[in-house]
Amino acid sequence: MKASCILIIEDELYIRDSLAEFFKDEGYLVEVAASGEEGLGILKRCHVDVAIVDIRLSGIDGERTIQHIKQLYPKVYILVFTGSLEFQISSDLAQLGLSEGDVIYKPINDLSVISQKVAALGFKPAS
Amino acid sequence: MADQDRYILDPRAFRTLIDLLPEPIFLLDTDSLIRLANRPARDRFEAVEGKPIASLVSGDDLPDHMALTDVGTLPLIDGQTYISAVSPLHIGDRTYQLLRLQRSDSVWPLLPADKMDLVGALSAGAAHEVNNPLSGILQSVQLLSRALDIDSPPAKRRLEEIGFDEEGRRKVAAYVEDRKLLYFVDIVAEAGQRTSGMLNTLLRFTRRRTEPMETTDLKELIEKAFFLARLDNDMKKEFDFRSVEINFNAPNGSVEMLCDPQSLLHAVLNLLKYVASKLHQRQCDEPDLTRRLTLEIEPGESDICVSIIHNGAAIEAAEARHFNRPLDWYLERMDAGLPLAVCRTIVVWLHQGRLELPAPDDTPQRIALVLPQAPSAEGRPR
Repeated sequence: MKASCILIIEDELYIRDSLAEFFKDEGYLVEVAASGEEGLGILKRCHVDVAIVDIRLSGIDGERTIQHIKQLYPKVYILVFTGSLEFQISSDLAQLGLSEGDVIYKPINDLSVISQKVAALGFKPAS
Repeated sequence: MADQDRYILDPRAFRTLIDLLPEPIFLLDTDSLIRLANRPARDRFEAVEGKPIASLVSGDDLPDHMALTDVGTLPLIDGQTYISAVSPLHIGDRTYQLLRLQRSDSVWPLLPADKMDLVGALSAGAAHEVNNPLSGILQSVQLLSRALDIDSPPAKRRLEEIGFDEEGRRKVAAYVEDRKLLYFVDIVAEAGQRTSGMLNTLLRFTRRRTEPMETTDLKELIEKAFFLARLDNDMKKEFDFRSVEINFNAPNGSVEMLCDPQSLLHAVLNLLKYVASKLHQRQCDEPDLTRRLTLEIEPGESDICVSIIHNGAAIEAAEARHFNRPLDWYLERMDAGLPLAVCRTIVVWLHQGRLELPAPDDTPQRIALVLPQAPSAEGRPR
């Protein structure tokens, strides 16, 4: 079975790379982008199943990036990545089908929690 | 009556004086008739002088606190709820009540600024910025831990991919063990998680809340207050709070109550800051003093009493006076007793509780915060 592909859109290098390495280690295909613009470019040329999108991005911010992704690639599952405890799903994002369960808060003390979340959504690593 | 409460003023001079203040002020006689109203009061309520104050109050009766020298909330006929402070005033031979009003939504925004002072220089924005590098540390260290766990399936697979056989893997595992690599990685992980815990506590303290009242474990809240107090820059640098001997007497298990946890945390922090300053003050006079603070939680049938007992300097007259006039700190920009005034505003106004101060000659000094287990939500802003 072909592994699901996870796109990580995160402007912090250490967070992006360590998360990417983790998912690769789990057996997923991984793409990384440092900005919303770069992430949308990757989506044009690659099949992506899940996009993990940081909310505080320079350039197009995370919320706008998510709106673009859902508009252009509605089948891509979105997980919101944020370091803000105050963050709540806005009404715009809720209209796109996102809920509080789709939010991952930084820092992640146990990375296996995020892979379990992805697996529970039906996105599997290479068998 | 303290000398400071006794004024001899010409009524016209008094009117001129109170006209300068920004909030509505009324001078009431012993029959609760309005004898004078300052300009903001006259602008808001027409032709009020000579009328009973009750005619301005929305509802049938004056609240009980209007009969006392106290602070409370007062709903008026203009549709606004005000924080009211009543204090006696002596002009010549006559005794009046001075009623000062403040829009309940105008005092509240001033409190978070003080709250941030208590937390120290670490603002919420800075705390968020710490989260990013911390995430990098915590995520990377988890990867290291996985990579160094040679017997785990992912590590085995990766080692096989680069040509390590069983013997090679055994040697790598022996090296990892010999250099205690996993032990050191665990140290980094634990330190990162502790930092993350501290940061989360700070962030939760500074975050804006939407549900003011919730069931809260008072013991946990007080432990958080001590945690934040130890981080506070003033407490650390000015008062050396970390070297205070602290005893904590509380019943076993949780002590739950309905409260606004964020503001109550703020109140307890203010009390700790006040007590730390008093302990420091006495130690300046007696350098060999062992500074002691005991915190007691005593749940009653309908109230919970939180006492802070300390062997620091006694309360000063100016602090006690301002404590009884909590709005003075806003109107007069005074400093003495500010932590107590802020604490009292939160306890009395938001939680319908009370704050009991020690007498100057009490040894040790004991401050008690008495909170109803389920305060009414009425009369509060938000």
